Amino acid sequence: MNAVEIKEFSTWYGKGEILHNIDLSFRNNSITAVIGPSGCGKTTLLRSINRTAELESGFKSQGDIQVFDNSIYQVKDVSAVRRQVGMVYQTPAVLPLSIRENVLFGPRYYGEKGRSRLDSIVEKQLTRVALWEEVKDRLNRPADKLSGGQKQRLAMARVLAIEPQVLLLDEPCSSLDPASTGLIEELLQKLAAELSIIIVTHNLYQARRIAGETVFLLDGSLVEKGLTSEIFSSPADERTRGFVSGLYG
Amino acid sequence: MKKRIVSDYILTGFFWASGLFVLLVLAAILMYIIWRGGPSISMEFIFGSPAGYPLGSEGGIWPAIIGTLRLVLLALIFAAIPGLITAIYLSEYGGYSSLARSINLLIQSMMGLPSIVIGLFVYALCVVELRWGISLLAGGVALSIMIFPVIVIFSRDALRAVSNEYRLAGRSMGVADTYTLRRLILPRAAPGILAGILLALGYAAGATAPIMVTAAAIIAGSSGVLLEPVMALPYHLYILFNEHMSLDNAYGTALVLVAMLVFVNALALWLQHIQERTNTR
Amino acid sequence: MKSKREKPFIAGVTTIAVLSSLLLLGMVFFMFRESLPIWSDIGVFQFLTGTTWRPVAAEPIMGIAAMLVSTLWVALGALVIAAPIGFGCAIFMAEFAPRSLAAVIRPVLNMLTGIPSVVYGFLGAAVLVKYFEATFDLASGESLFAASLVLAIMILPFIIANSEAALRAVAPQIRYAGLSLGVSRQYYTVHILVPMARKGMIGALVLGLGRAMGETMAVLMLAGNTLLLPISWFSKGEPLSALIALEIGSATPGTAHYQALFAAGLVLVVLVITVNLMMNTILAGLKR
Repeated sequence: MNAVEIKEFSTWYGKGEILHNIDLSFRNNSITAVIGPSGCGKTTLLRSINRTAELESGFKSQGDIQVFDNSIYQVKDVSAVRRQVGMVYQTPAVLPLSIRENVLFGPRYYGEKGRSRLDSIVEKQLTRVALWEEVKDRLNRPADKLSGGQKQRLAMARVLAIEPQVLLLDEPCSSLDPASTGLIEELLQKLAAELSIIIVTHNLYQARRIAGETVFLLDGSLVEKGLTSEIFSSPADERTRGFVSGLYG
Repeated sequence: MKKRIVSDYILTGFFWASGLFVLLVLAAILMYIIWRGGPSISMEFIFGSPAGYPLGSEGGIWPAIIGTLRLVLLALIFAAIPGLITAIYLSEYGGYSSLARSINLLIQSMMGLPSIVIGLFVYALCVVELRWGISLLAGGVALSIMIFPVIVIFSRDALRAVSNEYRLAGRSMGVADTYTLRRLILPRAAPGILAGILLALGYAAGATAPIMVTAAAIIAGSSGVLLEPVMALPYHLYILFNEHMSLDNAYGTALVLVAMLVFVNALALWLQHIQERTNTR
Repeated sequence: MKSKREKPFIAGVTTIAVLSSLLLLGMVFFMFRESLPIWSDIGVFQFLTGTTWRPVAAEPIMGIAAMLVSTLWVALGALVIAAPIGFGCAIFMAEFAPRSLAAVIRPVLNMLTGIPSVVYGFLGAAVLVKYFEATFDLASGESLFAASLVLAIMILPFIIANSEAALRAVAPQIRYAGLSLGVSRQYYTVHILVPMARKGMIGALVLGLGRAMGETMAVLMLAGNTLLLPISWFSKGEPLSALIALEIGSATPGTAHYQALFAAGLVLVVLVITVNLMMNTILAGLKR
């Protein structure tokens, strides 16, 4: 089953076209990597899937994106779309709240109440991102005291706490050390059992390590999508070969 | 969730209302002044001298316009050069030294100094101790102290906005810093500096408190002698209203004053816009 | 390149910068010197807390409590009125306003700062005060409240501009992280944006307070100018700045009256500079 279905989708910021006529689908319960050179539109593609691209002024789009058969650009309630499709960003951004309240930021908004209920959410989500043991004694401390890797896992816990069905990650490890990167990759592989994960990455090794399928974008257009092993060993398109061969060159 | 939607609507309404309120206030002020002051405006009102009994209840405001221009010009003569030099020090030479930081702090504090206190100081020093009396010169000094920090801060920021590449380019060619400053930095900062000076001029032209204790007279000729009192638009407005001379003329005077200042401010904004465009790529 | 010819230039520039900036210290010192007899004869406490102001009586009594209270009351009152609208407008411009509308409001704020205080005072007195007189059947409509109301409009642009700058300084990553969770903009604004910009917004308020305390013409024309200790927001009063403006011209140099006005001026300067330094501390804390 496909979690996300993108049909003839194009976007513009002002007059510049960022994405050009993309047709693409992402499977459920798997990890798909999106690769391509800087400025190819990877991040915009990701942000279009949970409708945060439109937070930047001048954004326009055409075409259709369906998440579990719902056309998200026809939905009036953006909030419901974003709840269904969570996103983790490149720079680990902690909200100016305690660790506990960071996790509860979304749930509280969606009406979760009661101390024991909230406690169980915090424990469950922090455990899910393997952060619980490290922070369980200081849940009420400000979250900005955490290390970079911890902040990024907290950001994931915060997103997972709203129980999204699709998880988008925009180069989540690019500012982290190898140990934290390894930890997060491990987490993503576990999470893939429950949801659809789409990850933009600059690190081709990372794509090879964790992604079942890989998508290659160039200049706002889709070049190729296929099983990761095939994209890296025998790509159909010459341009893909050129890009991934950087891996060996 | 329902409660949340309601509170979101209320918040949005409040934010929009606050924004529109500001627009409304300016529109109301301008329209009211134009509506009430417009009928008073005539060639005779602008270019005539006060007349009637008490003097000022009829006639025009020309001596007050000229007096304000003289005061402002004098203030500019006193404040512009030291202001610009201080700005150059802060932006080009002071760096993060403790001296520069102290000067910055002093200038910031000076900016917040109540204008009546400047008037008080100049009154004691110039009017009383130096025996200048209530005079154009004393008013010019008071206004120059008032606008000095404005000129420093705007010029400093205009200079700082010029890309450091030019300074480095100058150095890499071995030319003197002063040469780079004169040929590259100052021209690029010029619109911003000019905008600051214009804003300072407008600020001085509207100031009433410092000149009412140092320079202004209810009635004075337009001789321009430095050691004689002058008329000034804002003070004239105050007197016309406060002494119940003529409400119509007060509105007319307010309209002339506001029109002058809106023009000067618009010009300054335009120059700032140019400054931003030349210094961002 | 710092050549030999540069050195005298730099020295000259530095000297002028230092001398010009010392003007402030010079002024404060001068005012202190002029008012010295007041501090030594009457005493700081007595001068600040005395509620009687009879400077030209055979035996002058001079206490500025009534004016000091008026100054604080008018300024704080203006702040109370201006804060919600100012913050609302700043949030509007930083987060909710369509770009084109924000592009209109910004120059409008500049225009509002450009209108001189005597015009605000005049309009307040000619329109607002007259309205109060007609509506509430008062003999005279001037009051601390009328002064606060007009001052609030005068300090609004400063509060808005500085608060908006603080709101815009919040990192965009935070905005994305918050909004991508699906919470509404309003929720994000109240729970994340404003708390993060809090210090800068308080700084903006403090700056407004400093302005309001030093403002002269508007309060002179609106506060009612009575030397009694105000007992409510709707009392008349005479803030320190108005006191100085009204009396300095008629005080004979060298008399206790003259010196007392300098003492009042010094009190006002100390108040305003303290407030400004407070803001500098707040903003310095912000950068860290």
